[in-house]
Amino acid sequence: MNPGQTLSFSGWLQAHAHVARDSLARLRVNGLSSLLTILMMGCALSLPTTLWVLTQNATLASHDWQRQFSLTLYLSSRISQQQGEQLLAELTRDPLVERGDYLPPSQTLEEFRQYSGFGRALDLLEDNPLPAVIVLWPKPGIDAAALEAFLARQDARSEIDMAQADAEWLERLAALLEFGTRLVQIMGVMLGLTVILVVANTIRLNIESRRDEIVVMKLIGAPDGFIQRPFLYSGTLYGLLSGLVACLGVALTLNSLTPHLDALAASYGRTMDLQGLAPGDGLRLIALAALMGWLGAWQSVWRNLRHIEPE
Amino acid sequence: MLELQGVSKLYADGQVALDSIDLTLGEGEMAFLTGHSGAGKSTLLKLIALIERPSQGRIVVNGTDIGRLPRGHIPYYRQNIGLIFQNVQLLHDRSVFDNVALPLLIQGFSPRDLGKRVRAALDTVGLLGMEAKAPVQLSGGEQQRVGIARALVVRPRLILADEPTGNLDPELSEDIMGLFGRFNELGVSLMIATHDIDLITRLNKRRIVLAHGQLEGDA
Repeated sequence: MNPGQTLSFSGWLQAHAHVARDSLARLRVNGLSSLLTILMMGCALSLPTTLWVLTQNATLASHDWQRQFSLTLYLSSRISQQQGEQLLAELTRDPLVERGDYLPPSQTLEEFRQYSGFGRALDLLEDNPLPAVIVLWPKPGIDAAALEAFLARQDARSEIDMAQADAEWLERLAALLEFGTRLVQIMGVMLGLTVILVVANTIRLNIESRRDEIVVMKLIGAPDGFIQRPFLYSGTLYGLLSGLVACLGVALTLNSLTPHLDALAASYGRTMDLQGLAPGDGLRLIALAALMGWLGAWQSVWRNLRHIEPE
Repeated sequence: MLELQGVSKLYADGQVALDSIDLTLGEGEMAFLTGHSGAGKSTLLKLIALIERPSQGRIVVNGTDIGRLPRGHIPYYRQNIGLIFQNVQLLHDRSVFDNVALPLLIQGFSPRDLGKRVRAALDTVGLLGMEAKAPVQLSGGEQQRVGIARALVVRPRLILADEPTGNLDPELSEDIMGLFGRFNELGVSLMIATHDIDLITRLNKRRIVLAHGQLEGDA
Protein backbone atom coordinates (compact mmCIF):
# COMPACT_ATOMS: atom_id res chain seq x y z
CA MET A 1 0.00 0.00 0.00
CA ASN A 2 1.44 3.32 -1.00
CA PRO A 3 0.95 6.56 0.94
CA GLY A 4 -2.51 7.79 0.19
CA GLN A 5 -3.74 4.41 -0.93
CA THR A 6 -6.72 3.42 1.13
CA LEU A 7 -8.01 0.13 2.38
CA SER A 8 -11.64 -0.90 2.38
CA PHE A 9 -13.40 -0.31 5.69
CA SER A 10 -14.08 -3.99 6.34
CA GLY A 11 -10.47 -4.85 5.53
CA TRP A 12 -9.31 -2.16 7.91
CA LEU A 13 -11.66 -3.48 10.58
CA GLN A 14 -10.43 -7.03 10.07
CA ALA A 15 -6.81 -5.93 10.30
CA HIS A 16 -7.52 -4.13 13.58
CA ALA A 17 -9.47 -7.07 14.99
CA HIS A 18 -6.49 -9.26 14.10
CA VAL A 19 -4.10 -7.00 16.03
CA ALA A 20 -6.48 -6.71 19.00
CA ARG A 21 -6.70 -10.50 19.27
CA ASP A 22 -2.93 -10.72 18.98
CA SER A 23 -2.44 -8.15 21.77
CA LEU A 24 -4.82 -10.03 24.04
CA ALA A 25 -2.97 -13.27 23.35
CA ARG A 26 0.35 -11.62 24.23
CA LEU A 27 -1.13 -10.31 27.46
CA ARG A 28 -2.01 -13.89 28.36
CA VAL A 29 1.46 -15.16 27.44
CA ASN A 30 3.06 -12.71 29.90
CA GLY A 31 0.30 -13.62 32.38
CA LEU A 32 1.82 -12.90 35.79
CA SER A 33 3.72 -9.73 34.97
CA SER A 34 0.74 -8.33 33.03
CA LEU A 35 -1.53 -9.15 35.95
CA LEU A 36 0.78 -7.39 38.42
CA THR A 37 1.00 -4.32 36.19
CA ILE A 38 -2.78 -4.18 35.84
CA LEU A 39 -3.31 -4.63 39.60
CA MET A 40 -0.83 -1.85 40.34
CA MET A 41 -2.56 0.51 37.91
CA GLY A 42 -5.96 -0.48 39.25
CA CYS A 43 -4.95 0.28 42.83
CA ALA A 44 -3.53 3.64 41.81
CA LEU A 45 -6.83 4.52 40.12
CA SER A 46 -9.09 3.22 42.87
CA LEU A 47 -7.59 5.54 45.49
CA PRO A 48 -8.72 8.91 44.06
CA THR A 49 -11.95 7.34 42.83
CA THR A 50 -12.86 6.10 46.31
CA LEU A 51 -12.09 9.52 47.75
CA TRP A 52 -14.22 11.12 45.05
CA VAL A 53 -17.16 8.84 45.85
CA LEU A 54 -16.82 9.72 49.54
CA THR A 55 -16.80 13.49 48.91
CA GLN A 56 -19.81 13.08 46.60
CA ASN A 57 -21.61 11.28 49.41
CA ALA A 58 -20.63 13.92 51.94
CA THR A 59 -21.83 16.71 49.65
CA LEU A 60 -25.18 14.97 49.23
CA ALA A 61 -25.46 14.41 52.97
CA SER A 62 -24.54 18.01 53.72
CA HIS A 63 -27.52 19.17 51.67
CA ASP A 64 -29.70 17.05 53.92
CA TRP A 65 -28.08 18.44 57.03
CA GLN A 66 -28.52 22.00 55.83
CA ARG A 67 -32.21 21.33 55.52
CA GLN A 68 -32.31 20.94 59.29
CA PHE A 69 -30.60 24.29 59.79
CA SER A 70 -32.54 27.40 60.60
CA LEU A 71 -31.89 31.11 60.84
CA THR A 72 -33.43 32.97 63.75
CA LEU A 73 -34.45 36.63 63.36
CA TYR A 74 -35.32 38.42 66.62
CA LEU A 75 -37.82 41.15 65.80
CA SER A 76 -37.87 44.59 67.32
CA SER A 77 -40.51 45.08 70.04
CA ARG A 78 -42.07 47.89 67.94
CA ILE A 79 -43.22 45.37 65.35
CA SER A 80 -46.81 44.27 65.58
CA GLN A 81 -47.91 40.70 64.87
CA GLN A 82 -49.40 41.82 61.55
CA GLN A 83 -46.17 43.53 60.51
CA GLY A 84 -44.23 40.44 61.60
CA GLU A 85 -46.35 38.17 59.45
CA GLN A 86 -45.93 40.55 56.51
CA LEU A 87 -42.18 40.44 57.02
CA LEU A 88 -42.30 36.62 57.03
CA ALA A 89 -44.25 36.61 53.78
CA GLU A 90 -41.64 38.92 52.23
CA LEU A 91 -38.72 36.83 53.48
CA THR A 92 -40.10 33.52 52.26
CA ARG A 93 -40.19 34.98 48.76
CA ASP A 94 -36.38 35.25 48.87
CA PRO A 95 -34.78 32.61 46.63
CA LEU A 96 -32.53 31.46 49.47
CA VAL A 97 -35.42 30.60 51.75
CA GLU A 98 -37.34 27.37 51.59
CA ARG A 99 -39.87 28.08 54.32
CA GLY A 100 -40.32 30.07 57.49
CA ASP A 101 -42.37 30.47 60.66
CA TYR A 102 -43.52 33.47 62.63
CA LEU A 103 -43.59 32.99 66.41
CA PRO A 104 -45.33 35.80 68.39
CA PRO A 105 -43.90 36.73 71.83
CA SER A 106 -46.54 34.67 73.59
CA GLN A 107 -45.41 31.55 71.79
CA THR A 108 -41.71 32.18 72.29
CA LEU A 109 -42.39 32.61 75.99
CA GLU A 110 -44.26 29.32 76.04
CA GLU A 111 -41.37 27.55 74.30
CA PHE A 112 -38.85 29.17 76.61
CA ARG A 113 -40.88 28.08 79.60
CA GLN A 114 -40.91 24.48 78.34
CA TYR A 115 -37.24 24.14 77.39
CA SER A 116 -35.40 26.43 79.79
CA GLY A 117 -36.57 25.18 83.15
CA PHE A 118 -37.18 28.79 84.29
CA GLY A 119 -40.95 28.23 84.25
CA ARG A 120 -41.64 29.34 87.79
CA ALA A 121 -39.33 32.33 87.61
CA LEU A 122 -41.00 33.57 84.46
CA ASP A 123 -44.32 33.73 86.25
CA LEU A 124 -42.84 36.46 88.42
CA LEU A 125 -42.39 38.78 85.44
CA GLU A 126 -45.15 41.25 84.75
CA ASP A 127 -44.39 41.74 81.06
CA ASN A 128 -43.23 39.24 78.49
CA PRO A 129 -39.58 40.23 77.91
CA LEU A 130 -39.18 37.99 74.85
CA PRO A 131 -39.34 39.35 71.30
CA ALA A 132 -41.29 37.86 68.41
CA VAL A 133 -39.17 35.58 66.29
CA ILE A 134 -39.07 34.58 62.65
CA VAL A 135 -37.44 31.20 61.98
CA LEU A 136 -36.26 30.57 58.39
CA TRP A 137 -35.12 27.31 56.80
CA PRO A 138 -32.73 27.95 53.92
CA LYS A 139 -32.94 25.93 50.73
CA PRO A 140 -30.50 22.98 50.58
CA GLY A 141 -27.25 23.45 48.74
CA ILE A 142 -26.88 27.16 49.36
CA ASP A 143 -23.30 28.08 50.08
CA ALA A 144 -22.21 29.55 53.36
CA ALA A 145 -21.11 32.90 51.94
CA ALA A 146 -24.54 33.61 50.38
CA LEU A 147 -26.22 32.65 53.62
CA GLU A 148 -23.97 34.94 55.61
CA ALA A 149 -24.66 37.86 53.27
CA PHE A 150 -28.36 37.19 53.65
CA LEU A 151 -28.04 37.22 57.43
CA ALA A 152 -26.06 40.47 57.38
CA ARG A 153 -28.80 42.09 55.26
CA GLN A 154 -31.44 41.05 57.78
CA ASP A 155 -29.32 42.15 60.71
CA ALA A 156 -29.14 45.64 59.21
CA ARG A 157 -32.91 46.08 59.01
CA SER A 158 -34.57 48.27 61.59
CA GLU A 159 -37.42 45.76 62.12
CA ILE A 160 -34.91 43.15 63.19
CA ASP A 161 -32.87 43.44 66.36
CA MET A 162 -30.66 40.48 65.70
CA ALA A 163 -30.19 37.76 63.08
CA GLN A 164 -28.43 34.53 64.02
CA ALA A 165 -27.42 31.27 62.46
CA ASP A 166 -24.97 28.56 63.21
CA ALA A 167 -23.18 29.46 60.00
CA GLU A 168 -19.78 28.57 61.38
CA TRP A 169 -20.62 24.92 61.36
CA LEU A 170 -21.74 25.17 57.74
CA GLU A 171 -18.61 27.06 56.80
CA ARG A 172 -16.41 24.41 58.31
CA LEU A 173 -18.28 21.69 56.46
CA ALA A 174 -18.06 23.58 53.19
CA ALA A 175 -14.34 24.16 53.68
CA LEU A 176 -13.84 20.49 54.44
CA LEU A 177 -15.73 19.46 51.32
CA GLU A 178 -13.77 21.96 49.25
CA PHE A 179 -10.56 20.50 50.68
CA GLY A 180 -11.75 16.98 49.87
CA THR A 181 -12.57 17.96 46.30
CA ARG A 182 -9.15 19.57 45.81
CA LEU A 183 -7.47 16.51 47.27
CA VAL A 184 -9.36 14.28 44.84
CA GLN A 185 -8.26 16.49 41.93
CA ILE A 186 -4.60 16.55 42.94
CA MET A 187 -4.47 12.84 43.67
CA GLY A 188 -6.34 12.11 40.46
CA VAL A 189 -3.76 13.99 38.41
CA MET A 190 -0.76 12.47 40.22
CA LEU A 191 -2.02 8.91 40.16
CA GLY A 192 -3.31 9.31 36.60
CA LEU A 193 0.22 10.35 35.65
CA THR A 194 1.53 7.30 37.51
CA VAL A 195 -0.74 5.05 35.47
CA ILE A 196 0.44 6.64 32.22
CA LEU A 197 4.09 6.22 33.22
CA VAL A 198 3.58 2.61 34.28
CA VAL A 199 2.07 1.81 30.88
CA ALA A 200 4.81 3.73 29.09
CA ASN A 201 7.48 1.77 30.89
CA THR A 202 5.77 -1.58 30.35
CA ILE A 203 5.42 -0.85 26.64
CA ARG A 204 9.06 0.28 26.47
CA LEU A 205 10.10 -3.13 27.86
CA ASN A 206 7.77 -4.83 25.35
CA ILE A 207 9.39 -2.90 22.52
CA GLU A 208 12.86 -3.83 23.75
CA SER A 209 11.98 -7.50 23.96
CA ARG A 210 10.56 -7.45 20.43
CA ARG A 211 13.41 -5.44 18.90
CA ASP A 212 14.44 -8.20 16.44
CA GLU A 213 10.90 -8.57 15.27
CA ILE A 214 10.58 -4.82 14.73
CA VAL A 215 13.78 -4.80 12.66
CA VAL A 216 12.43 -7.60 10.45
CA MET A 217 9.14 -5.77 10.01
CA LYS A 218 10.93 -2.57 9.03
CA LEU A 219 13.02 -4.56 6.52
CA ILE A 220 9.95 -5.87 4.77
CA GLY A 221 8.41 -2.43 4.58
CA ALA A 222 6.21 -2.04 7.63
CA PRO A 223 5.41 1.64 8.26
CA ASP A 224 5.56 2.97 11.84
CA GLY A 225 1.76 2.94 11.99
CA PHE A 226 1.68 -0.79 11.42
CA ILE A 227 4.47 -1.55 13.88
CA GLN A 228 3.07 0.58 16.66
CA ARG A 229 -0.48 -0.73 16.38
CA PRO A 230 -0.09 -3.82 18.62
CA PHE A 231 1.69 -1.72 21.27
CA LEU A 232 -1.09 0.85 21.29
CA TYR A 233 -3.62 -1.95 21.61
CA SER A 234 -1.67 -3.46 24.51
CA GLY A 235 -1.52 -0.11 26.31
CA THR A 236 -5.24 0.48 25.84
CA LEU A 237 -5.95 -3.04 27.05
CA TYR A 238 -3.81 -2.48 30.15
CA GLY A 239 -5.78 0.70 30.84
CA LEU A 240 -9.16 -0.93 30.25
CA LEU A 241 -8.46 -3.86 32.56
CA SER A 242 -6.97 -1.59 35.24
CA GLY A 243 -10.17 0.48 35.06
CA LEU A 244 -12.16 -2.66 35.78
CA VAL A 245 -9.85 -3.51 38.68
CA ALA A 246 -10.28 0.04 40.01
CA CYS A 247 -14.10 -0.29 39.92
CA LEU A 248 -13.81 -3.51 41.87
CA GLY A 249 -11.37 -1.88 44.31
CA VAL A 250 -13.73 1.04 44.92
CA ALA A 251 -16.66 -1.30 45.56
CA LEU A 252 -14.65 -3.41 48.01
CA THR A 253 -13.28 -0.38 49.87
CA LEU A 254 -16.67 1.28 50.21
CA ASN A 255 -18.16 -1.98 51.35
CA SER A 256 -15.60 -2.31 54.12
CA LEU A 257 -16.07 1.35 55.12
CA THR A 258 -19.87 1.26 55.38
CA PRO A 259 -20.17 -0.04 58.99
CA HIS A 260 -17.63 2.54 60.21
CA LEU A 261 -19.40 5.41 58.44
CA ASP A 262 -22.74 4.25 59.82
CA ALA A 263 -21.27 4.28 63.32
CA LEU A 264 -19.79 7.75 62.73
CA ALA A 265 -23.08 9.16 61.44
CA ALA A 266 -24.97 7.55 64.32
CA SER A 267 -22.70 9.29 66.82
CA TYR A 268 -23.94 12.61 65.37
CA GLY A 269 -27.49 11.37 65.59
CA ARG A 270 -27.78 11.08 61.85
CA THR A 271 -28.04 8.30 59.32
CA MET A 272 -25.98 8.00 56.19
CA ASP A 273 -26.89 5.98 53.15
CA LEU A 274 -23.55 5.43 51.38
CA GLN A 275 -23.91 5.55 47.59
CA GLY A 276 -21.37 3.49 45.60
CA LEU A 277 -19.88 4.30 42.20
CA ALA A 278 -22.77 4.81 39.76
CA PRO A 279 -22.65 2.53 36.66
CA GLY A 280 -22.22 5.56 34.39
CA ASP A 281 -19.29 6.83 36.46
CA GLY A 282 -17.79 3.34 36.49
CA LEU A 283 -17.92 3.26 32.68
CA ARG A 284 -16.38 6.72 32.55
CA LEU A 285 -13.59 5.54 34.83
CA ILE A 286 -12.90 2.53 32.60
CA ALA A 287 -12.93 4.72 29.47
CA LEU A 288 -10.59 7.23 31.11
CA ALA A 289 -8.25 4.43 32.20
CA ALA A 290 -8.23 3.04 28.65
CA LEU A 291 -7.39 6.51 27.34
CA MET A 292 -4.53 6.83 29.83
CA GLY A 293 -3.25 3.40 28.75
CA TRP A 294 -3.32 4.47 25.13
CA LEU A 295 -1.56 7.72 25.99
CA GLY A 296 1.22 5.92 27.89
CA ALA A 297 1.71 3.46 25.04
CA TRP A 298 1.69 6.23 22.45
CA GLN A 299 4.30 8.20 24.36
CA SER A 300 6.52 5.12 24.66
CA VAL A 301 6.12 4.12 21.01
CA TRP A 302 6.83 7.65 19.86
CA ARG A 303 10.04 7.78 21.88
CA ASN A 304 11.38 4.27 21.30
CA LEU A 305 10.23 2.95 17.95
CA ARG A 306 11.98 5.33 15.60
CA HIS A 307 15.38 4.51 17.08
CA ILE A 308 15.11 0.87 16.06
CA GLU A 309 16.39 0.55 12.50
CA PRO A 310 17.88 -2.35 10.55
CA GLU A 311 21.67 -2.31 10.33
CA MET B 1 15.10 -0.80 -13.27
CA LEU B 2 18.12 0.06 -11.16
CA GLU B 3 20.86 2.57 -11.75
CA LEU B 4 23.83 3.54 -9.57
CA GLN B 5 25.75 6.70 -10.52
CA GLY B 6 29.07 7.34 -8.81
CA VAL B 7 27.94 5.73 -5.58
CA SER B 8 30.43 5.77 -2.70
CA LYS B 9 30.03 4.69 0.88
CA LEU B 10 32.45 5.89 3.50
CA TYR B 11 32.03 4.67 7.07
CA ALA B 12 32.68 6.85 10.09
CA ASP B 13 35.88 4.93 10.89
CA GLY B 14 37.30 5.99 7.51
CA GLN B 15 36.79 2.64 5.82
CA VAL B 16 35.79 2.99 2.16
CA ALA B 17 33.16 0.31 1.55
CA LEU B 18 32.26 1.43 -1.97
CA ASP B 19 34.16 3.74 -4.26
CA SER B 20 32.41 5.47 -7.22
CA ILE B 21 30.29 2.60 -8.43
CA ASP B 22 28.43 3.02 -11.74
CA LEU B 23 26.05 0.20 -12.43
CA THR B 24 22.80 -0.51 -14.26
CA LEU B 25 20.42 -3.44 -13.92
CA GLY B 26 17.85 -3.64 -16.70
CA GLU B 27 14.21 -4.54 -16.41
CA GLY B 28 13.92 -8.32 -16.10
CA GLU B 29 17.68 -8.76 -15.80
CA MET B 30 19.36 -11.14 -13.37
CA ALA B 31 22.88 -10.46 -12.11
CA PHE B 32 25.21 -12.01 -9.57
CA LEU B 33 27.25 -9.80 -7.33
CA THR B 34 30.50 -11.47 -6.37
CA GLY B 35 33.79 -10.67 -4.72
CA HIS B 36 35.80 -11.57 -1.64
CA SER B 37 34.20 -10.98 1.74
CA GLY B 38 34.42 -7.31 2.62
CA ALA B 39 34.44 -6.31 -1.05
CA GLY B 40 31.28 -4.28 -0.57
CA LYS B 41 28.55 -6.66 -1.77
CA SER B 42 26.38 -6.34 1.33
CA THR B 43 26.91 -2.59 1.48
CA LEU B 44 25.74 -2.23 -2.10
CA LEU B 45 22.54 -4.16 -1.39
CA LYS B 46 21.96 -2.19 1.83
CA LEU B 47 22.20 1.07 -0.09
CA ILE B 48 19.64 -0.13 -2.63
CA ALA B 49 17.31 -1.29 0.18
CA LEU B 50 17.80 2.08 1.93
CA ILE B 51 19.10 0.37 5.05
CA GLU B 52 22.03 2.72 4.62
CA ARG B 53 22.46 5.96 2.71
CA PRO B 54 25.32 6.54 0.25
CA SER B 55 27.98 9.10 1.14
CA GLN B 56 28.03 10.18 -2.50
CA GLY B 57 26.25 9.46 -5.74
CA ARG B 58 22.75 8.70 -6.90
CA ILE B 59 20.68 5.53 -6.82
CA VAL B 60 17.65 5.48 -9.10
CA VAL B 61 15.13 2.67 -8.76
CA ASN B 62 12.20 2.51 -11.15
CA GLY B 63 12.81 6.13 -12.10
CA THR B 64 12.86 7.36 -8.49
CA ASP B 65 15.99 8.90 -7.00
CA ILE B 66 15.78 7.05 -3.70
CA GLY B 67 18.25 9.45 -2.07
CA ARG B 68 15.46 12.01 -2.05
CA LEU B 69 12.88 9.76 -0.37
CA PRO B 70 11.81 11.17 3.00
CA ARG B 71 11.98 8.85 5.98
CA GLY B 72 8.24 8.24 6.00
CA HIS B 73 8.28 6.90 2.44
CA ILE B 74 10.99 4.30 3.01
CA PRO B 75 8.58 1.55 4.19
CA TYR B 76 6.45 1.94 1.06
CA TYR B 77 9.57 1.83 -1.10
CA ARG B 78 10.74 -1.37 0.60
CA GLN B 79 7.35 -2.98 0.09
CA ASN B 80 8.11 -3.08 -3.62
CA ILE B 81 11.39 -4.96 -3.34
CA GLY B 82 11.83 -8.52 -2.20
CA LEU B 83 14.69 -8.73 0.29
CA ILE B 84 16.31 -12.07 1.05
CA PHE B 85 19.01 -12.43 3.69
CA GLN B 86 21.60 -15.01 4.56
CA ASN B 87 20.35 -15.15 8.15
CA VAL B 88 16.76 -15.59 7.16
CA GLN B 89 15.26 -13.24 9.77
CA LEU B 90 12.04 -15.13 10.38
CA LEU B 91 9.81 -14.34 13.34
CA HIS B 92 10.23 -17.39 15.49
CA ASP B 93 7.11 -16.97 17.59
CA ARG B 94 4.89 -17.22 14.52
CA SER B 95 3.99 -20.02 12.15
CA VAL B 96 5.37 -20.38 8.63
CA PHE B 97 2.03 -19.13 7.31
CA ASP B 98 2.09 -15.99 9.50
CA ASN B 99 5.69 -15.24 8.47
CA VAL B 100 4.86 -15.36 4.78
CA ALA B 101 1.60 -13.47 5.34
CA LEU B 102 3.30 -10.59 7.16
CA PRO B 103 4.20 -8.48 4.09
CA LEU B 104 0.62 -8.80 2.86
CA LEU B 105 -0.76 -7.73 6.25
CA ILE B 106 1.59 -4.76 6.16
CA GLN B 107 0.28 -3.82 2.72
CA GLY B 108 -3.25 -3.88 4.06
CA PHE B 109 -4.59 -7.18 2.80
CA SER B 110 -7.39 -8.33 5.04
CA PRO B 111 -6.45 -11.47 6.98
CA ARG B 112 -9.27 -13.33 5.24
CA ASP B 113 -8.06 -12.67 1.68
CA LEU B 114 -4.40 -13.46 1.93
CA GLY B 115 -4.54 -17.24 2.41
CA LYS B 116 -4.54 -18.00 -1.29
CA ARG B 117 -1.49 -15.87 -2.05
CA VAL B 118 0.44 -17.23 0.93
CA ARG B 119 -0.21 -20.81 -0.14
CA ALA B 120 0.73 -19.99 -3.75
CA ALA B 121 4.05 -18.52 -2.55
CA LEU B 122 4.72 -21.55 -0.35
CA ASP B 123 3.85 -23.83 -3.27
CA THR B 124 6.39 -22.03 -5.46
CA VAL B 125 9.19 -22.77 -2.99
CA GLY B 126 7.95 -26.32 -2.43
CA LEU B 127 6.72 -25.89 1.12
CA LEU B 128 2.98 -26.33 0.68
CA GLY B 129 1.62 -28.21 3.69
CA MET B 130 4.14 -26.66 6.11
CA GLU B 131 1.98 -23.61 6.93
CA ALA B 132 1.26 -24.54 10.53
CA LYS B 133 4.85 -25.36 11.46
CA ALA B 134 7.09 -23.13 13.52
CA PRO B 135 10.33 -21.97 11.84
CA VAL B 136 12.42 -23.91 14.37
CA GLN B 137 10.84 -27.16 13.18
CA LEU B 138 12.30 -26.60 9.72
CA SER B 139 15.78 -27.32 8.33
CA GLY B 140 18.08 -24.46 7.33
CA GLY B 141 17.18 -24.90 3.66
CA GLU B 142 13.48 -24.90 4.42
CA GLN B 143 13.82 -21.74 6.53
CA GLN B 144 15.65 -20.06 3.66
CA ARG B 145 12.81 -21.02 1.34
CA VAL B 146 10.26 -19.55 3.79
CA GLY B 147 12.27 -16.32 3.59
CA ILE B 148 12.10 -16.47 -0.20
CA ALA B 149 8.35 -17.11 -0.11
CA ARG B 150 7.99 -14.07 2.15
CA ALA B 151 9.92 -11.95 -0.36
CA LEU B 152 7.94 -13.05 -3.39
CA VAL B 153 4.45 -13.14 -1.87
CA VAL B 154 4.02 -9.44 -2.70
CA ARG B 155 5.11 -10.15 -6.32
CA PRO B 156 8.00 -7.68 -6.35
CA ARG B 157 9.59 -6.58 -9.62
CA LEU B 158 13.02 -6.41 -8.00
CA ILE B 159 14.53 -9.00 -5.69
CA LEU B 160 17.74 -8.38 -3.75
CA ALA B 161 19.34 -11.42 -2.13
CA ASP B 162 22.38 -11.34 0.14
CA GLU B 163 24.16 -14.72 0.22
CA PRO B 164 20.85 -16.62 0.04
CA THR B 165 22.66 -19.97 -0.20
CA GLY B 166 25.46 -19.17 2.23
CA ASN B 167 24.43 -21.79 4.77
CA LEU B 168 23.18 -24.45 2.41
CA ASP B 169 24.68 -27.58 0.90
CA PRO B 170 25.41 -27.54 -2.87
CA GLU B 171 22.28 -29.44 -3.85
CA LEU B 172 19.95 -27.09 -1.96
CA SER B 173 21.87 -24.11 -3.28
CA GLU B 174 21.27 -25.26 -6.80
CA ASP B 175 17.54 -25.71 -6.08
CA ILE B 176 17.29 -22.16 -4.80
CA MET B 177 19.24 -20.66 -7.66
CA GLY B 178 16.94 -22.58 -10.01
CA LEU B 179 14.03 -20.96 -8.23
CA PHE B 180 15.53 -17.52 -8.82
CA GLY B 181 16.00 -18.42 -12.49
CA ARG B 182 12.31 -19.21 -12.75
CA PHE B 183 11.33 -15.85 -11.22
CA ASN B 184 13.61 -14.18 -13.71
CA GLU B 185 11.83 -15.94 -16.56
CA LEU B 186 8.61 -14.37 -15.22
CA GLY B 187 10.17 -10.93 -15.68
CA VAL B 188 11.47 -10.24 -12.16
CA SER B 189 14.80 -8.36 -11.92
CA LEU B 190 17.23 -9.95 -9.46
CA MET B 191 20.53 -8.97 -7.92
CA ILE B 192 22.06 -11.79 -5.91
CA ALA B 193 25.20 -11.42 -3.84
CA THR B 194 27.08 -14.70 -3.53
CA HIS B 195 30.59 -16.13 -3.43
CA ASP B 196 29.52 -19.51 -4.78
CA ILE B 197 31.55 -19.19 -8.01
CA ASP B 198 30.99 -22.79 -9.16
CA LEU B 199 27.26 -22.36 -9.10
CA ILE B 200 27.09 -19.10 -11.01
CA THR B 201 29.54 -20.27 -13.59
CA ARG B 202 27.15 -23.06 -14.45
CA LEU B 203 24.15 -20.70 -14.53
CA ASN B 204 25.79 -18.49 -17.12
CA LYS B 205 24.34 -15.13 -16.03
CA ARG B 206 25.75 -11.63 -15.76
CA ARG B 207 28.47 -11.31 -13.08
CA ILE B 208 29.34 -8.10 -11.34
CA VAL B 209 32.64 -8.41 -9.48
CA LEU B 210 33.58 -6.12 -6.62
CA ALA B 211 37.02 -5.81 -5.08
CA HIS B 212 37.94 -3.41 -2.28
CA GLY B 213 34.83 -1.38 -2.92
CA GLN B 214 35.52 -0.94 -6.64
CA LEU B 215 33.94 -2.43 -9.70
CA GLU B 216 36.44 -4.97 -10.99
CA GLY B 217 34.46 -6.75 -13.64
CA ASP B 218 31.01 -6.81 -15.22
CA ALA B 219 30.21 -9.49 -17.76
